[in-house]
Amino acid sequence: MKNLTFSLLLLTVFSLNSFAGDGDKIPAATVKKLDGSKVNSNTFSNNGKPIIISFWATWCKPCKKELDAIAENYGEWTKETGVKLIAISIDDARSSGKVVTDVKTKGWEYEVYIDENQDFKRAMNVNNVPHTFLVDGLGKIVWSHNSYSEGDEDKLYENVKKLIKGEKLEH
Amino acid sequence: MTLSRFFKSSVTAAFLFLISLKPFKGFTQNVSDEINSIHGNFQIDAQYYNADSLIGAPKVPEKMLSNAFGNINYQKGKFSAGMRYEAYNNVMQGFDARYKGQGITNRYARYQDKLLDITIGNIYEQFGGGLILRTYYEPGLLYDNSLDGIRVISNPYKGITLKGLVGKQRSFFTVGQGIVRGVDGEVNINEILDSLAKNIKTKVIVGGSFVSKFQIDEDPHFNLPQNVGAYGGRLNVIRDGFNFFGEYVYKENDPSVANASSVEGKNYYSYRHGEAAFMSMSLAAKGISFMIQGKRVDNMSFRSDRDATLQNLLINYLPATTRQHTYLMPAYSPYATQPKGEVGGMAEMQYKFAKGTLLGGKYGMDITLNASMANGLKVIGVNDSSSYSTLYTTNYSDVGEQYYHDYFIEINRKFSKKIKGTLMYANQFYNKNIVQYGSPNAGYKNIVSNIIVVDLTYKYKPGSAIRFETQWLGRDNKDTLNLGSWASELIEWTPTSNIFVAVLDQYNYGNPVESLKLHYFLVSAGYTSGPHRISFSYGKQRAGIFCVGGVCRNVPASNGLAVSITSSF
Amino acid sequence: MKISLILISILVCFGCVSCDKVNNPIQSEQIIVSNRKVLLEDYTGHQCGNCPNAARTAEQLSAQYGANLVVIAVHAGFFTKLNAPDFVTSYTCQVGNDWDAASGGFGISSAGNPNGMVNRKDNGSGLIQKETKWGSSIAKALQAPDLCDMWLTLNYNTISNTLNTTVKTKFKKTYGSNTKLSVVLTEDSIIGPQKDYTQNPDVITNYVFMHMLREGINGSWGDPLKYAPIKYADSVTLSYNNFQVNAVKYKPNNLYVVAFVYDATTKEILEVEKAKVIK
Repeated sequence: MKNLTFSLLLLTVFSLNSFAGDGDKIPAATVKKLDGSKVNSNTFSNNGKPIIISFWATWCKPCKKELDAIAENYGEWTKETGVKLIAISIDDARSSGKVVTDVKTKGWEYEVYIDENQDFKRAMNVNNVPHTFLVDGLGKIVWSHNSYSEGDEDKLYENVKKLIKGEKLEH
Repeated sequence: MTLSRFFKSSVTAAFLFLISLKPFKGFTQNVSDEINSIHGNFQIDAQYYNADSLIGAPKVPEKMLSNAFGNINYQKGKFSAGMRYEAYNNVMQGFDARYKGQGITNRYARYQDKLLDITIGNIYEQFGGGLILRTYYEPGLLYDNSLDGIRVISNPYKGITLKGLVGKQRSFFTVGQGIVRGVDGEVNINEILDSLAKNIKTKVIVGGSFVSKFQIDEDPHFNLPQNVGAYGGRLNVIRDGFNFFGEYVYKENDPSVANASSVEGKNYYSYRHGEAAFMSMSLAAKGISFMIQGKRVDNMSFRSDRDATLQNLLINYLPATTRQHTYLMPAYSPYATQPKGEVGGMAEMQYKFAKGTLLGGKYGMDITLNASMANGLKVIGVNDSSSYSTLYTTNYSDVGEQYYHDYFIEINRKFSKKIKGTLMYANQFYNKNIVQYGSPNAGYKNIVSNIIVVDLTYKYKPGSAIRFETQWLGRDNKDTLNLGSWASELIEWTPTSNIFVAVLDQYNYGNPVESLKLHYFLVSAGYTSGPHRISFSYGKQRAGIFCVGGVCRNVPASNGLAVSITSSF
Repeated sequence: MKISLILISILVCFGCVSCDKVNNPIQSEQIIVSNRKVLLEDYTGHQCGNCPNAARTAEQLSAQYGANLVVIAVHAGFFTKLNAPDFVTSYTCQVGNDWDAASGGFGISSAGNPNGMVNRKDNGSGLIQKETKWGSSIAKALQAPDLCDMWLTLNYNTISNTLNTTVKTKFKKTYGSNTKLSVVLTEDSIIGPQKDYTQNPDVITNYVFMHMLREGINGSWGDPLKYAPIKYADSVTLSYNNFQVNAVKYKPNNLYVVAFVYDATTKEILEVEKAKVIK
C-alpha cells in the first residue's frame, strides 16, 4: 500500500513536468572504447549531423543482421547525409572479447563502444536488443525502434533523410 | 532494518524534493546544453495456462500468471534519479514464488561531476570483468542482485578511477542479510603518462579490487567467519587488433551451503580458500580474427548470504567460456560455470571470404570455427577429520571429469540480393549429472548431440521476407531419461517490417516412449511500432530444468496463450 | 584533490575490515536449556538427490536438541514425481501440497529442494531456509520467550483404527493476534527408494524415511484456536474424535500426531507438541 501511494505520488510529480519523451538529450553513462579508454555517452557528437545509436550484442543474431544490412550501404549513407552510426555492445565479460573480432572480421566501419555492465542500456531504457535510436544534429533523441526485421534498415534510412530535410519522422 | 527503512525513506524524500523543483526552475531557465530528460520503459508478460498431462504441464490454479515491470529514469544536468516498479500476480511458472505481489524494488539518486560521482539507492556496478563483484539486472531471468547502498566514484587524476561501495543486496522484495563492501582502483597507464605516451600505440590498463562481506554467525555448531574477504587484480593490454585481458581473484575461507558436504553421514563445511582466473586474448584484422579464452575456477561461489542458492545474492560473476547459442537446438543443453570447480577454454576463428572470390561469391561469405570445453578439477581428498576444515584440495597440473564440449562451424552467405542463409553444424558433449544436478552420481548418462541448423531468408520485396529454419538434434534414442532426438521447423513471415507471423514445430520423434513422440506446436505473431512491441504466442513449450550449485528448479512444460508487451519512451 | 584524499583514506579503512580466518571450525557443544519446542519442516522428494543431506542435518539436530525439536518431512513438488521402475509409490499428501503451493502456500519447491522452515519464521534471510541455516534458526527460536504450554492426549482404538486427539493449550502471556491450531499425522521408518547423490549408484532402494507428513487431522490450515485475543493464563482445549486412520497404508505403530499453534496472520508457529499414536 505504501508503495502504491509512493508510485502514485511519483506519477503526479512526473506529470507536472510534462513528459519530454522524444526530443531529450542522450543521458550520461560511461562506456568503453575498443582501446580501453572510457567515454561519457553525453559527449557523443557528429558535427551537427544525425547519429544512429544501435544497441547490439555478439550473441544476438538479429542485431548482427541489422548491422550487416546497414554496413552494405553505410558508405552511401554517410556520403549522402553525413550520418554516423554508433554501435553499443552490451556484451559482458563472457563475450566482450568477441566484440573486436566480430567488428573487424565483418569490416564494420562504425564507432563501437562496449557497455559492459549495461549502464548506458539502462539509462536509455532499452528492454532488449536490437534497439536503434536516431539522434538529431542537436544531440536530441528523436526516434527509436525495437527489434529488427528485414527492411527495417530502409525505413531507418528514410527517417535519416527526413530528419535532414526537417520532415516528420515515421515509425 | 530500521536503518535501511530510514535510508529508503530519505532517498525517496530527496528524490521527490529534487524532482518537484524542476517545473519551477523550468520557467526561468533558458534552453541550454544541459541534459534534461525523462526516459522509461515497460514490459508486461502474461500467460494463460492449460493443463496438459501428456507434456507434463501442471494445472495452474490462477489460470493466468503475469510478470511486469516499469522503469522511470530522470536526469537533469549532473543529477539523475530513477525507480522501478515490479508486479507479479502471481509470478509465472518456472520462477521463484518469493517474487510475490508488487512494489518498488529499485530506486536511486545520483550526482556526478568531473571529480566525484555519488549514488545512493540501488546500484549496478562491476569491478573489472566481474570475477570479484558484479551487480546486474536481467529481467528475463528475474536476476537482480543490485546493491542497495552507497557508491562513490572518483577520478582524482586523469587515467585513475577509484570506486568504493557498501550496501546490502536485493533479495526478492527485500535485501539479504549480509553487508557487501568493496573498493576498486583502475589505472590507464597511457592516460597518466599523457604527453609521453601519446604516440605509443600499445594501451595498458591495470586494476585491483578488494571486496568483503559481513554476515553474522549464529550457528550453534560451527565457528563461521563473519567477515569474508576477496582480492583480485587485472591487466588489459590493447594494440590495434590485439587485445589481452586477464583477471585473478583470491577469496579467503568462506564456508557456505555451496561447499558443504557430507562426511560419514554428517554435514560439514569446507574452510578452504577460493580462487578464479580468467583470460581472453584476441587478434583481429579486416576479414580475419582469432580468439582464445581460458578460465580456472575453484570454490568461488561468493554470496552475501552463505545459505543462499541458485541465482540469489551472488556477489561475483563467473563467465562461462563457451559460446552462447541463439538457435533453439544448439541451446537445448546450455552450459553454466560450475562455481565449485572448473577448468575451461575456448578458441574461435572467424574468416570472411571477400566479395568476388571463388568461395565468397558476389556478396562474400562469413565462416566461424569454434571449439570450447570444460572439465572439473582434479580433486584430492584431505584426511583432516579432526577438524574437517579443508575436506579437499585441487591439483593445478591435471583436470578432472569432462563437463562439456561444443565444437561448431557456422557459415553465413548471401546468395543473391533476395536470398541469404546460415548453415551450422555442432557437436556437443553434456555431462547432465554435473551441469543439471551438481553431482557426479545423479545417475544420468552423458549426452552427445549432433546438431544441424539451416536458416534461409527470402526477401521477396523490399521490407517483406519469409524465413525458413530447420533444425535437427540427434541423440542416443535408447536413453529413456534424455528424450532422444528432436527435429524443429520454423516458418516466419514478415509481410512488412513491423509485423511478423511464425509457426514453430518441435518434434520429439526420437522419444523412446511411443506415446510421447509429440509435436510441440507454437504459433506466434507480433507487431512493432518504433519503441513499442506486442507479441502473442499460442501453443506448447517443452519443460526444462534449471540447476545451480546443487539446487534444482523445474521449469514445467506449458500449453497456452502468452502475451508480451514492451515499450520505452 | 582534498576530496580524493579523503576518499582514499576511506578506501584504506575499508581494507582494514578484511576477513576472519577460522582455524577451529567446530565449536564446543553448547547446551541450550529451554522449555520451548520448535518445529522444523524439511521439504523433500524421493527423486531429490541432494535431499538426504538435509535429512541428515535434521537427524543431527534432532539428536542435539532431543524433545525440544519436532521435525516434519514434507514430500511435495517436482521431485516427488513418479518414475518407473524405482519411484512408483507416491509420498505426497494434500496437506503437504497445500503448504508447498506457490499460491496460497509457502512456495518452497519453487525455490528449489531441499529447503525448509523453522517455526515458519524469518530469521534475517527469509522464511525459506537451506539446511545449513536450520541450526542457527533453531538455537534462536529456542531462546525466544516461551508463550504457551501444550498437552496432547491420544487414544487409539486398535480394532476400529480410530484416533481421538485432545489438544490442551495454556498461555503464559497475552497474545494479540488470532491463533490457529493444526493437527497432523506423521509416520516414521517407511522404507522406499530415494535418490542420494552422495552414493554411487544414486538410487538407494531401502532408504528409511523419517517424520513423513501423512495427513491433516483438521485440514491443511487447521482450526481457529480462539477468535478473541489471548490473555494471560487462557486455556483452550480442542478435541478431534473418531478420526479414521488408514491402517492399510500406514503402520499405526510408527505413527505420530504433531499439533502446533500458529499466528493466523504471520503463520509463525508459537508452540508445537508431538506424541506417539500407540505408546
